[in-house]
Amino acid sequence: MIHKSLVPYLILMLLKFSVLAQEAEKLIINKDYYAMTLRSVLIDLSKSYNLQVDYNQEDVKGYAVFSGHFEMPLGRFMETILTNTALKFKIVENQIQIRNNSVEISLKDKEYAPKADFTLTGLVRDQETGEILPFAQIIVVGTTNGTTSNVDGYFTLFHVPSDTSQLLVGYVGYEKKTLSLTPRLVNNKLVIDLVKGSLQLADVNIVGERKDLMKVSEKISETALTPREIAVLPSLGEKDIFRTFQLLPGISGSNEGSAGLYVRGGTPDQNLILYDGFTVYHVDHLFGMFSTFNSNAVIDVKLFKGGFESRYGGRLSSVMDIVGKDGNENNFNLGADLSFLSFNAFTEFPLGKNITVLFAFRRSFQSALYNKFFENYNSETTTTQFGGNNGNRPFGRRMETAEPVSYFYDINSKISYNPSKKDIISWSIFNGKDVLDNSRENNRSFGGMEMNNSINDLTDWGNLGSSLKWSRKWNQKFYTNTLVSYSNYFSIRDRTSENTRINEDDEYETMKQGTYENNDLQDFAFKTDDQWEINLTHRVEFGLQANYFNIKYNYQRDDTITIQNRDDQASLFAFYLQDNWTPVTRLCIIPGVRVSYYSGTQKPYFEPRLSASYALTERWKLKAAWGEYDQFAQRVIREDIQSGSKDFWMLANDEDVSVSSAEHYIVGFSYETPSYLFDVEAYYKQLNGLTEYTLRYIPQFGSVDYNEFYYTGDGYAQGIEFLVQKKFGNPSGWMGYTLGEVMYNFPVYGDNSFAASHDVTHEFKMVGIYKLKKWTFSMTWIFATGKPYTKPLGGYQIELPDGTVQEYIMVGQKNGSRYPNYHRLDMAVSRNMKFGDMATGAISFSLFNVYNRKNVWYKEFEMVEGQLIETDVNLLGITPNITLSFSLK
Amino acid sequence: MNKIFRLVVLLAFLMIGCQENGEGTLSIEQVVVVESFLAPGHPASIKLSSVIPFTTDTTTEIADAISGMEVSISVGDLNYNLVEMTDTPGTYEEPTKRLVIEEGETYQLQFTYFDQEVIGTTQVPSKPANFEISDTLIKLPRITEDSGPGGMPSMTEIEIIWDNDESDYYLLTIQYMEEEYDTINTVFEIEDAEAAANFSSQPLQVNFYSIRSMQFSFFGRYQIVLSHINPEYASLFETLNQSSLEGLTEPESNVINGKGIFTSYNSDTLWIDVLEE
Repeated sequence: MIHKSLVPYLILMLLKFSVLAQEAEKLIINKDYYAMTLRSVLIDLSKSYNLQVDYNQEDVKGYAVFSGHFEMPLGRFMETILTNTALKFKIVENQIQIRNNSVEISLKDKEYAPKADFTLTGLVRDQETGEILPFAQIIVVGTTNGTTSNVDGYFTLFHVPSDTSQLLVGYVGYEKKTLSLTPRLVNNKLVIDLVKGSLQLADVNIVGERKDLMKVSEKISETALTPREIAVLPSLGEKDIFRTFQLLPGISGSNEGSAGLYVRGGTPDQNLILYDGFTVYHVDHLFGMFSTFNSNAVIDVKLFKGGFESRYGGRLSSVMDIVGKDGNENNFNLGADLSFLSFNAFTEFPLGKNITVLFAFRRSFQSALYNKFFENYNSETTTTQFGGNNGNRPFGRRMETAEPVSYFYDINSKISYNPSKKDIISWSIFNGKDVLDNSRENNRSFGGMEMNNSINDLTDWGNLGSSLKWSRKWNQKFYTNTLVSYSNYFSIRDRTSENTRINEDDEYETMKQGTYENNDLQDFAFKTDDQWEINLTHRVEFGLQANYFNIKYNYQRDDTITIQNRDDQASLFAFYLQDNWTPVTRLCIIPGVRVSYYSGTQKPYFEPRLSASYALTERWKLKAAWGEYDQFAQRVIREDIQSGSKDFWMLANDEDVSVSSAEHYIVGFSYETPSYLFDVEAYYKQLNGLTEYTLRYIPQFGSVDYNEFYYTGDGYAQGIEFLVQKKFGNPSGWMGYTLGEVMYNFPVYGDNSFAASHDVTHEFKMVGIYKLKKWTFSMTWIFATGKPYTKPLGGYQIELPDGTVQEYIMVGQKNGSRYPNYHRLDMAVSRNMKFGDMATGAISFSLFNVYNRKNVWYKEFEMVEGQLIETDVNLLGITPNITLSFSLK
Repeated sequence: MNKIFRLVVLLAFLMIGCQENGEGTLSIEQVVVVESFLAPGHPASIKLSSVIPFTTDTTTEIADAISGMEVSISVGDLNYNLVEMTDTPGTYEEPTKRLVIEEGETYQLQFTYFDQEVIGTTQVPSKPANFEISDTLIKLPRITEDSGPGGMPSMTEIEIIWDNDESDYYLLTIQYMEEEYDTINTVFEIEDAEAAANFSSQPLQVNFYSIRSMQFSFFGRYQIVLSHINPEYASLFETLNQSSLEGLTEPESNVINGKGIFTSYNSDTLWIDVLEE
């Protein structure tokens, strides 16, 4: 075990001795010299460190270097070995010239022609790990000339005034850095290293600083998160990116049963979730308690709540772009987290000169906490059989109870390869799965008669995705990013039971009953995203995207009745073009268009988009966006009480599931000071072509054409969001309030519109973080008004000819009533620890739903002897959790 | 004919849907529940009642009967008016007995309630054909406390078959005919004797049904009734969603502008005797 872990160290030691020539002055000599002449030392020096040493043989004759171990910078080393000699030296880059004290050194400082009003290219990295930092901000101090680094960390600045200008570089979670340019820096590849600092959640278009305000990226409705830092927030066993986003205004925070995001009245399937470029179709683990994304493997997450650019398409509401970590370029790193719920481990290390590897694994175990979630959210227990008859009462029926087996796991891995200064190739793989197995078997034999009865109760769903990406910065102005990817979402729900018996002819007869459901989605994609920085005023972005979808959905009942059997394929081609246009310095306009062709309907779709932002003053900023969006693969929500994956993905076509579309209108403004941010945004979304599929109108026994039961409708969502954030200092945090409305209109339910099931009118959220030495205290409080539901108005009875009486209910207006208000307080305290110089760690204690409020999840209605009995099924009560974290770096 | 009928059912439901929701919703007092199962050999009987509203004050267990309606049933060109029975308000029958329920005929119910025309239609299915039972007599040992161990009786299966080439819906009911309950297994106490003695199947689309001898709790004569039913009757056995998680549902009803059921069925009967060994 030990020797295996030494391998990366060995590789590392080998790497230490190869060095960039330009860094000669910083070069640390680490050598042992014993009884060697000066000349042999100089020869060894030039060989070992790739230096050019220029000396006269006559000059160095007769000198020796005293024996010992030398570990010091090159400059000091030269001084040391030339002490007591009549020689002097000069180092310029990778050249050393040694001359007699009386002779002039002819080595000239490398001279660079002075530069003014020039274009500067560079790379932004994490100083410690060497990992690139995407979307960092760089600005020339004293001007409004700035830019952001792209997804590979590269940036280009136009019209830099002089080669001695100062740059201010910032990135969420890192200390801001002021870099003074020098002629040498600007004439060679510029690499800017940033040091990790204390963090706050910040709007990515504004990163404040005590002396200077910096507004560089002008994208509307955009929010960024640093995954590393969400560990301080209260958690339910796993720190989770999606759950943290739910603490922001505009994103619904009262959905405990879904990790997916309800952004501005949209449903989770209307979000485009990209992980290293490939689309992820299902993001829930453990009935929606967490998302499938391991924070330890993610470096950057950006959420576009609406009005997103033409670069992204195929979804109606929002885009979440997740960039996985590349891996530590310099050192081997290992870390692990352990909580009441799961175990999480990751490792990252360099492999060879230009390769880095990252690997992260997470698995749950069936602790008491896991079982608690399971019992609370596994809603299959309470199905009142309404209207059913008394059925058979077989004598001696026996049910064997078994412990269900349930777990989830996910694996993230990424290999990045830098073949040259201009290219980056990376391969990312992601696999996650949830398994819920409650199957049991029952063998009985009575007086010679064998009976075998096995009941399957298996829910199995997950994702497998992979992308291979090549990005290249061709020159200062042109950058391309090409990608091929594969994404697979699978979901199996097996609730069949098999009965085997010997019939009168002494033959085995097997009868299969129950439901079996299988949804399998495959998405093959090719994408290219290109940037062309024409000049300071125009940066043009364009790209091509091609997808091939293969979606199967099979829903069987009782082994013979096929309710749905779909096997659809379709292709989607898209081209987009947009221009980041700054006609005057304070105004940025991004017009764009996305054109798609979808083979399922054989039609083209035009999606024009426009966004703009204007900096009124240094503190005030106005922004607006408008766009049209289409969605071709839909997640149809199936109305069924069985738990597990209750929905399935389908391709739109001309017949039953239509291509859905949306139009966004967003306006907003923000006011920012060094410490505070105040942000307001109002939105209106028109939605068309929404699909609902329901089994409830179909008799359980019948051979009706089930394809008839897709219903189409439209709706709108509108609202206004307020955010007040204290970005720095102690305590820090934010408060958000959203006023919103989502109304649907489905003709099958009537002429009138009804509130969508996820409609929340008022939502208020508060997050506070307080640091005290090694301790961090955090709290979150969420308040949301209740969601709508359909209430029963009354009941009636029908007596069947055989004398049995059945009771039924009559429902009221669809979604006409509201659940009681939802509110919840979570708190956490964590303590950082250091294990000497070896490693760091933390222990945190979290309490979810501190005052144990019984928030209603849904209601169950039962009519017993003419009276309605209403039972509340509640969400999670007070839940504690402890997490231990550990990492080498 | 079946396809058109199903379309009518769907259309009827959609129309009900259109009317029940939104501001145009009828108030609960204006909704009538129809209960009617027509069968050859039985007089036509329609029961009308109201929906019991769910309020905290209501303690009534029985729905209010709806009286004084002018209810008529038509078949072909003939139209019969039904009269409300004086001893059972809300139940309407045809006193002259001229209205006869016959196999294959289509009957339509009609009356007006709160300015809405309430209509129901049903076609009487055919009588079950080739209805046979494997044994008309079985003998089971009585199990008492003195019965020795290993006394599990051999499992006899009684097979019931009939013709069903079109996968129509059938319902099988087993009814205990004796007045007193003669328990087979005296070791276990049976709480609800009536429920244990009578049992029915779910709607069947097959052509066979088997009863295990273990299912009989009492000695005596049992009546086995096989009914050929219509889809709307089968839909009454639907497992309906009764939680607001996915949205409450109402059962499908073939009554236009009303709730409940107006259907017909046709049955045949066999007997089986369960005797002590």
